Amino acid sequence: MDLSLESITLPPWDPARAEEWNDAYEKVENYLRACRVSSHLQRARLIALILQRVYDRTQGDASVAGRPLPELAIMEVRDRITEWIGHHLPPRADGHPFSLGEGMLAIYLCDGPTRWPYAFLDSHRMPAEYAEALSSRVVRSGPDLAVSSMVPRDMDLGLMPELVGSAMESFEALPILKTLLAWLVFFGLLGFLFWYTR
Amino acid sequence: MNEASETSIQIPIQAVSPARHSARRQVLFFSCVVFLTSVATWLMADILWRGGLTGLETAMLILFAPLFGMVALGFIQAVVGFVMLLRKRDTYEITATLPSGEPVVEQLPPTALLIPIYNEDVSRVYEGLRSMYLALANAGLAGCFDFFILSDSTDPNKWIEEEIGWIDLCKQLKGFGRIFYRKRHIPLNRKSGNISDFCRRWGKRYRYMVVLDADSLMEAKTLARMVQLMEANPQTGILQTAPQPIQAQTPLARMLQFAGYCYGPVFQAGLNYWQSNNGNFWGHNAIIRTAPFIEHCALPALPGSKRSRFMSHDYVEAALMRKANYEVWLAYTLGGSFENVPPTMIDCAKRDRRWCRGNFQHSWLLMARGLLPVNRLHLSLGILSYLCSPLWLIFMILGMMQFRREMLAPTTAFDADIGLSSYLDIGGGRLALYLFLATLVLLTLPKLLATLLVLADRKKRRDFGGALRTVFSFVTEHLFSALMAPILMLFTSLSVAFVLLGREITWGAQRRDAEGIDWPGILRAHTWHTALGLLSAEIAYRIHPAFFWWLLPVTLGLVFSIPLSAVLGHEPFGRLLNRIGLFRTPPETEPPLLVSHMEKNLEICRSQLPPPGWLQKHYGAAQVVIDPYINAAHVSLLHAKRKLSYPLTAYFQKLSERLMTQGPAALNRRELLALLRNADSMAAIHDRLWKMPDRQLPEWWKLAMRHYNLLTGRPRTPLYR
Repeated sequence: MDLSLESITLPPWDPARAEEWNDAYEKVENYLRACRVSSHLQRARLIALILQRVYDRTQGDASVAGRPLPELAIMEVRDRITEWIGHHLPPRADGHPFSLGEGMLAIYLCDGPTRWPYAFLDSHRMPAEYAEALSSRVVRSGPDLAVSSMVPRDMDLGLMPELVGSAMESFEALPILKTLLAWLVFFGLLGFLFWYTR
Repeated sequence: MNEASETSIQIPIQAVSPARHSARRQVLFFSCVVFLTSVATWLMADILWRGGLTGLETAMLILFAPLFGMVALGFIQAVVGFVMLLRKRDTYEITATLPSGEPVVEQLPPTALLIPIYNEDVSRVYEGLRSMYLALANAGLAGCFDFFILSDSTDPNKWIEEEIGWIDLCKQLKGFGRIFYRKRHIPLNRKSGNISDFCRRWGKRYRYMVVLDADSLMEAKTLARMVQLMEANPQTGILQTAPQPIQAQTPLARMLQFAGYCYGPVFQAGLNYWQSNNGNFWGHNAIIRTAPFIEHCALPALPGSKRSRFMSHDYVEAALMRKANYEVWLAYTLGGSFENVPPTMIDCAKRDRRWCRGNFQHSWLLMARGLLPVNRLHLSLGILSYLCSPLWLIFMILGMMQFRREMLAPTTAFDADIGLSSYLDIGGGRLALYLFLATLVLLTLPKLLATLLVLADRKKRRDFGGALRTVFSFVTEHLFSALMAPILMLFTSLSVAFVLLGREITWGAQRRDAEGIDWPGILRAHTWHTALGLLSAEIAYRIHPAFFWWLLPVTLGLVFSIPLSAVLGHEPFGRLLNRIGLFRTPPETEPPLLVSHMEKNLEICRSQLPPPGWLQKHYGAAQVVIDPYINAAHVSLLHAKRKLSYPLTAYFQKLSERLMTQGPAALNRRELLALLRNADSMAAIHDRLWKMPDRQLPEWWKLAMRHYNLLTGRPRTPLYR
């Protein structure tokens, strides 16, 4: 479904929920800013539209009653992005709709909000170039696999290293031996100093 | 990219069959080394043998032989290199087989450029990659090379930076499908494991792979020529270039850079003389034939219960390649191959500590069946180069003891005419002095010869800043090297002791660039050097005042190790030296386009405003959680996981809850990494955070979101925009 940015009206004044609406406004604005929608004008229009839809939903949908307005507002903006991106991305091979994450990635890859600041979520102002850029964006972190087997070959290290290796294994298994050896070295050093200073 | 096997290249092969000649060269070369060493050892024996050898004297003599042997090896290598460079042609140089004409894209087979990284400066890595990519594109060769960033980073911030940087770089260069990013979640077997992982996944697609380091840079022409050389020499398994230092800022780095350009060629030419096709792999800035590497160079586990792997894999891989009958060459005249050098003495010591452990592990292979004798020699020389430090230390201690004994009981006629000295009519003392002076000559002459080569060539002289500056740089470098030598000796001796005691040495990321003076670090590292220097000077003076002066070259560096380390690592002082032209090198006189392009871009990267300290510490996690695009990119790059077991789901829920309620500081690095690796959790946390009313947001996230929202028009990334 396309968003129409024409004839937007803000939700009617309700003193009891004014603060909550204000929070929802701020939340949507922050989210749009995080989406790099840098145009104040575009942000204002989108916020108004989102809030109006949230208002409509609170009036007509009993399932959302009691839920915080900021949460509903963020849900709404994310639903709109998913829906909008669904119009412009080519259909997936498995027939499933694109997820929000995939859509966000496609927008990120073509720098949509920066290059076309007034087209974000607005299909009426969508340049063909933007639509094309969106649909052609894919990320491949690696080429197709071409699997090889790379396994170490057995290496004959020779008799001494094998013996030392097995001795080390036994040595490491008995830490008391290590301590004893350290003390032996110490006593040896003392003995040498005694001999040298005579 | 086509399969490697499908590419057919017709390049006339110029036969190089140096096996017989290289054996002759090796015999000649090592005969000279043995000759010098044996004469010097004989003189030493003559000096010590004054009416028999005591235990102390015998120990000194035994130590002297290998220590002098290493000095002689360096000297002969430099002299041979000097002669080869004077002749301007080495018959057994791999670049002599280079096909004439410019490289043509259609003639080059698919080649992968691998950049293994581990918690590195992401901007430096990616800007280097950008410069190489653009250089290849400008040369019309981009189609032949694929770039692979192979990350083993364990720092969450670095990981996220790498991901964002990779996407940004690909966007800016239109490099998707040419520049790839792979993050291993378990960095098994460090760098060699990372390369093996690439080989197992994609190795078959590429006939060659160029292994780079995080700070490597290679010119397009060099890369193309390496591929051409490999094509022209089908028996060559590894072709190693000689990386030249760049971007030196501190006085120490500038000294190392000067040494690399001025003395390096002489030693490399000498090295190539004796090793020819039995060369070594230095771990980076080299091209490798992929198929034999996969087949023969998988590294076995080391003996012992820990089953650890080789830390310095390069020498072993070269040995295995030679064992499989493939040649390994050093293309020392190729040029266009660059790397950074450590900016401070502590960084040098850290790097040496890692290499020391790696080289000592090679002792397991010395008797391995099937290795060529020359590879055993390479491995032994690697071990000996580190073992020399503690051996010098012991030799000096024994020397002090011997001198003291002579002072206390001057019964033996040290200065009497006994043995050789009786024929020369000089006493033992004079003979000792001559041997000492001869050793000094052997240490100094190689550098002097290399400097003479520079002075003799007008262009080189100009590139080094003129004759006066070159001579002054040579003298200063020599002086500071002498002062640094005992400090580095103690650092290495300590590393050797750690290795022999089986103490673990962690694989810390290197500090690739200067960051000013780190006083606490310097004091921690050098206080014991100073204390030991003062103690040695005191003991020497007590033994005999003359001995104090003999020992001064050693004790002076140690006593002043703290100010020396600070001065040598001081970046503004390094810049001052650059301005006055001291340690000037060719890339500073005529900067290669590749390097200046990267430096310009890096300057812009570093001019970005960093986030405040409290956010900077967990900036990566904050970005993934807050930023809708980065969250989407991060989640999409994680592998789709099978359904998790209940305990794992519960574990991730617990971690998510802590991250949400207390901020990233509540998780340790391992927990944060685990959570960042779980796609479902990351998507859920992002969703939950944005849906939460601001008033209910935990304090850390409230601040982070406010800060992030202030900057989202231009959030900080590793690359400039």
